[in-house]
Amino acid sequence: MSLALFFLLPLATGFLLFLWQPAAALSRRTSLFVSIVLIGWAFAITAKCGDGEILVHTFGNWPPPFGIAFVVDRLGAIFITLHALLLFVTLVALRPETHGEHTVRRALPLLMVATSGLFGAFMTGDLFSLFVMVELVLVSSYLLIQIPGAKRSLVSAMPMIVINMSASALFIAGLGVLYGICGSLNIADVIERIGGAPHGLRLAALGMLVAAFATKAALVPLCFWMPATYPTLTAPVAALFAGIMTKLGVYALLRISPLLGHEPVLLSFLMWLGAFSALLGVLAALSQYELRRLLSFHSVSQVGYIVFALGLHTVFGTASAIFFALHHSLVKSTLYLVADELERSNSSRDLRQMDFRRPGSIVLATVFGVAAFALAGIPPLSGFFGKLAVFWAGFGSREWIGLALLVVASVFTLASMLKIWRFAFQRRPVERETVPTPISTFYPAAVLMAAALIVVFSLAAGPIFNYVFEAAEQISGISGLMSGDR
Amino acid sequence: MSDATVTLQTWLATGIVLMPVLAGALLFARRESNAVAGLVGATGSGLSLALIVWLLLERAQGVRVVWEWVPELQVVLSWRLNSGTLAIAALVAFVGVLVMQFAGAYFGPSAKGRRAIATLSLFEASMLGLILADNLFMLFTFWELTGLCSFFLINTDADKRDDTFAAAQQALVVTVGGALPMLLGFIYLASVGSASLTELYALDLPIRAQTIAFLLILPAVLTKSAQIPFHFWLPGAMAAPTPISAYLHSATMVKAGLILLIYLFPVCGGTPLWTLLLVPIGGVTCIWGSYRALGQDDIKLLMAWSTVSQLGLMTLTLGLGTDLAIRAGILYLFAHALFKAGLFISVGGIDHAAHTRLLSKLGGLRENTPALFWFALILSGSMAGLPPFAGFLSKELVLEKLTLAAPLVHDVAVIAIVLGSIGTVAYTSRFFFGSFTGSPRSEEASKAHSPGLGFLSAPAVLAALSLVFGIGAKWIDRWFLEPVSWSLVGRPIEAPHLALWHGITVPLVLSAGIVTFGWFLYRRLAGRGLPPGPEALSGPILFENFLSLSRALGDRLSRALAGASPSVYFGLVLVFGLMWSVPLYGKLGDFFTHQWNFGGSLVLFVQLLAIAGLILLPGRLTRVLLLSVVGFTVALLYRLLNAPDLVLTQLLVEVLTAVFFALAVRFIVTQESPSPIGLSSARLAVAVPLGLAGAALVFALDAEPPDPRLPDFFLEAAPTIAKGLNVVNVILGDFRGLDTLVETVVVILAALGVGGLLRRERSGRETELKGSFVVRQLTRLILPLAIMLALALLLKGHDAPGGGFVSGLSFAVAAILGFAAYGTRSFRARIPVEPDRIAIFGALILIAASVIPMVMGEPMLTHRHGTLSPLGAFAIKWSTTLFFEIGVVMAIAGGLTAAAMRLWEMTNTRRDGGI
Amino acid sequence: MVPVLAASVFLLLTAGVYLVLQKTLLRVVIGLALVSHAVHLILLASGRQGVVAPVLLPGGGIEGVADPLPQAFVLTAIVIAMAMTIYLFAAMAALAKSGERMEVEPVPDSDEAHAPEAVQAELEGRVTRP
Repeated sequence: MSLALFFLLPLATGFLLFLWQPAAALSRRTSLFVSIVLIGWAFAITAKCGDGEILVHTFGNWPPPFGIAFVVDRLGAIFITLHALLLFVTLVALRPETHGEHTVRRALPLLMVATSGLFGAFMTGDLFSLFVMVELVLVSSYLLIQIPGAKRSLVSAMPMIVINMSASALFIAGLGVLYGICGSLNIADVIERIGGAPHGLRLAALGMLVAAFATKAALVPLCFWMPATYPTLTAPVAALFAGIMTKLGVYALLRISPLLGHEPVLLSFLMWLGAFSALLGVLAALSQYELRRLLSFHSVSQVGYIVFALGLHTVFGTASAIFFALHHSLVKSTLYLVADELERSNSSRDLRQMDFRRPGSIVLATVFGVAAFALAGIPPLSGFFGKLAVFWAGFGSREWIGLALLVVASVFTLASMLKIWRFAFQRRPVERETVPTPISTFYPAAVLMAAALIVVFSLAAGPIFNYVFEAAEQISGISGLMSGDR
Repeated sequence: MSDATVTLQTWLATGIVLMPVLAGALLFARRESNAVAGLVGATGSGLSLALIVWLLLERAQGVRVVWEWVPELQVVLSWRLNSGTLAIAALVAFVGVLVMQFAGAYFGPSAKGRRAIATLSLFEASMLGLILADNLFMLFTFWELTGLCSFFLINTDADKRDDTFAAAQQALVVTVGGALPMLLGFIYLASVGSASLTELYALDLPIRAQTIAFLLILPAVLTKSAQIPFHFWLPGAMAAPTPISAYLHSATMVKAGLILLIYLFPVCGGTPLWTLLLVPIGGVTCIWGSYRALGQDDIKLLMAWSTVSQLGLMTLTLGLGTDLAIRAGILYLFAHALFKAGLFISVGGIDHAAHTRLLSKLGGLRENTPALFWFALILSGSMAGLPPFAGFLSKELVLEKLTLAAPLVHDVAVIAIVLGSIGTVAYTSRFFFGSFTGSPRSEEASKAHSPGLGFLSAPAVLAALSLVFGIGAKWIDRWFLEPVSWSLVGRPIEAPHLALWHGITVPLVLSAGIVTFGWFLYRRLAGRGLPPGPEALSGPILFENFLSLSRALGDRLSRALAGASPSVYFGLVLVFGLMWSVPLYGKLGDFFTHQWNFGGSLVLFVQLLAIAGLILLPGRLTRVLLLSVVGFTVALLYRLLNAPDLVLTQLLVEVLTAVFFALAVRFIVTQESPSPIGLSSARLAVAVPLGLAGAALVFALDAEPPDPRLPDFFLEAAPTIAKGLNVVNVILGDFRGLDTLVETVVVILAALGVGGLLRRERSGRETELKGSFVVRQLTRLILPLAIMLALALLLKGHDAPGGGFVSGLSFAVAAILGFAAYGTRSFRARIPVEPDRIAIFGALILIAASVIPMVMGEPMLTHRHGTLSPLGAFAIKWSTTLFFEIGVVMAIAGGLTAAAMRLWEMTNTRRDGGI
Repeated sequence: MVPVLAASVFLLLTAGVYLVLQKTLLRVVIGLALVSHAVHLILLASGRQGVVAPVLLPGGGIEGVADPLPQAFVLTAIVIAMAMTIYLFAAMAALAKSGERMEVEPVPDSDEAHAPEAVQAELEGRVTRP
């Protein structure tokens, strides 16, 4: 099985669906089948990369750095697997019965194309093709945003598009300067040559890249587009977005982290950006009443943890960042799926209008409990290990103030999860007079699957952390890693 | 010790924690009556207790590793077995048996009883895990799990009262918040020593390390064990049903902090802050708890405040920081667990019997509930520290200990304990006499009936034990206190023997004084409420204020971060990106050393005029026109920079963008003000430095010697291997075909997106609106030429400026011209397929071009080239890149045409008044 | 050519950032277009500029030929920017049709100037002065 298939299979599926436009049910079945195939492949390459192998596919037979190569190491394999799993859960949740024939039909091909873009981004060993892959993901996400067709989704998409255009301009400019000082944009090649590059231009180039990726990762203060956009998306799509799309910025930062080692000022910049995002994001979340808006402010906060750990620039820090990113993707997707069920069963997006007495409430409460307490870092769920890892990393680097910010943030995280609990799941002594009729019935498969993923992830935290640690060693330790020669 | 024994003991120890989990799981899964549920819960605890006794009898000692959960983070599930940990576990399991049994009776037919008992079982398991865990991070895990379970437990009565959530939230947030610094403390201990308690005991950490660890862990102890100023969650937690309070606030939850202190004493007991912080905090808590208990009317709240007071007493005792003090603390911990559990259950009994818990309504219960009276008498005696009960023994030990402490600490501690204990005697008397003696103060109390066996068995057992504890002091000392305290402290403790009668000693005199004054206080204050202290300092209110303050702050923040004015953030992104180039300003000096290019200067001048006009001239359309002018100047710059492909692309893109703008203009500019944009110094102050940074970048890049590797390779390989002379095009079509593929897909998606956006506008779909006769004739002339040109750009693109993109853009321009002249209906009639379908076919061709080489065993996007000479006369170069480029052309041309048509139709339906 | 390039980048970037900081979406979009131009020029400045375009003559040498790679990058970037801009125009149009204001900040300076008639007048060349 060739790496190129990861990119081509979803792309071809997407365009065939565009062309034929089959009924939603058939379309969904096809996509589910494709995503199962992708999960199988993803596990296969994860196993291969776990043995230290680096998989390479050189396009057009042109050797890097002249041509482009897909290069998959442990880090790439991890993100590919994560996305394949989340895609499957999303597709399970996205049913014509609950979300409408029209929505599902339009969303599926776009999800497939976005998937190919994401896989391409996770696999490519070339920074310029990372740029085009990111643009592909972005344009598919704009189209996904416009599906609900509501004014609000259009209004919210505007700033997202504009800010991403700004970020993309910086991305290209940064790549240009990087090309000027390193003579190529092949990541491995750049890693090898950046050491000899002049300081001023290096700082300028990497600074532009950092700002671009920090915007895409939605860090404070560049995060405003996310809480505006995600609440308007079709919910299962939002689950996938929240899980993986913001991680694209994180992934890009991880990829260039070996370069950032040459400009420590950028690392501290990231670290502080992360620490403040962690605190300010959760404070902002605490005040929200719209469930999904609350959750997206949370993402700002949680990505802060990740970027803080990344900014420490130690192998342990990088490993913690990857681990935390994985955990957060699973948990946040689960929470969005729960939010979807809650919104549909309560016919409202506002927490204040929610009521616990619903079919499936207990199942939903359990799933929410697992995800929410995982997010709040209550052991022994995944969030605890993530937090522990980040704290360990911060401790190792003696970043006391940053750590203190994270600690305070984690108290608020718990408080904000309890807030959701209070409105959506807390039993109340006074029976409500009117119970709004739910739009559709409860469909537990997707949320249960997502919760099961969290539990498995928590139980298998040991081997996963081990894998992630090796991935961090691989990206930060060995230069020439991304070259296609191996 | 044989391996088999170790394995067996590992399983036994795991079983201790697992039994209540199984019981809980069973109860969650099966619908049982509350009585059965109580029985199941009690059985779970009983099995745990049996396993503990088994291990005690085996004299199990040492660490049993169960599972290396996350070795990199030093999270290992392992049990620390010795008589000390097992004895505390035994206490928890034992009280667990009694409480579960009681809970079965207490909940009656209520539906939530089963779930409460199940949660209680899980809580018990967490508590047992906390006690037995050897690994600090597992200890932390169990610590948090107790907090989490307590959240649900306190919330049990949510269907009856509306204050449970606030109480549960308080308890959880306060204890979890306090635990977070502890996590840092544990990380610190693990990094300077080890994450295993047993291994830490073997180390002798420097005082500085001990102090840091202690300070980080202290908040967890204070919050969990409800010390001032974090005590307020404990009385709040009384919103829980009685069995839950009886368990949480006697043997378990609140003891966790003290147990942790005992465990950590050998690790960081050496720091002077141990005593300096714990003694005053414990002392204040002890006195304040007593004072508040004295003022309560609800006997359950009285018990809660009494717990606060006694937790203070224990903290103070442990804070004295000597082996003997720890020994005294351990004894008190056990004694307190026994009498407080018994008393809480008795309160439940009273509540059940008299249907009230208020002292102002109780009284005279002795008549109707004689059994409860006797049990409560013993338990109250123990609490008040009267001989011959357990409470007396332990309080004596504490007081005796004090005579050995340092002078100042001694004074503080003695005063605190004496004051606290006087209060204890007084409120105990109030509880006991107020409930059982005198005459009933309400009808309910007079009609009280004796509660059933389910309510009496637990107090009976606990009272008996309190009695045995006191009377059997000698045996307790030898068989219990000595092994337990020795193994917990980690060394033998030289101590006088425990006895009820030591002769007339200072402690005895103090005890006598305490009882006398306590009784006196009770007589003076009986029935009078005491002021609860200033409201501003009330914990729950402060907590609520803190939360609402954070919410208000968050509200402001969220408005600032995601409010209605994101324009600042667009700029901020650019500032964050470009500010790093400011150090390159030095390079700006090169401006004067380089030679100027005449043509370039001319272009630059036009550009300057256009940009100045853009900002200073009025009119909305002017702006867009001038933007196009700027685009053309940039194309000219590309010409000067020897980039002919870019010139073509830029010009076509400029044309197309202008067309799209023109199509959408009516809608786009409605909110744009026609007045000039004008200059504002604040914005210039941001813009100019960034512009300078950009210029500096250009100079700095120019100063760098260019790397010839890639350009030379491309220039060499393009004509020879890739068979193309236009190297830019060869790069796009061959060397970096992947980028081109993805970029084409981006264009298709954007075009499909335009279609999707305007889908709702399709009602008046095709229009016959078309150009005038002249326009149509002109178009008839131009169109074939345009199409020929586009085709030429495609076919020659490999060797001359042109190629897929440029050709696709030209086709799109031609098509737009076509439908503008003939109207979209006739246009559609003349082309075989819908343009957006053409785009999709284009994408599929690209995919096919990617896959075909793979089928032939080559990497994706591998191309072949050759020369074809039919008849031997001509030599026609062929290349598979042409197939790829045809895909690009179809995709770009189809996509852009489709998008433009959609806009066209939308615009014109509007003009026709269609919508 | 370098000072011209630098001066042009300065002009485009300054004006671009200046417009991005404005309040209405159209100005922001124009600003971004200018920033993109500047960025493309920076990208071209990163490679060797040469004296000959990278369109080779059969049998000719490669001496003094401009670096083709940045040109390919810029071409890609131009097309992507165009796709995004077109999409943005359509989105603005769709929004305007649905009657939603699309300013970045709701600060119109006079309501008359925004009336559809005013726009129509401007389109037909009868530019109204505020």
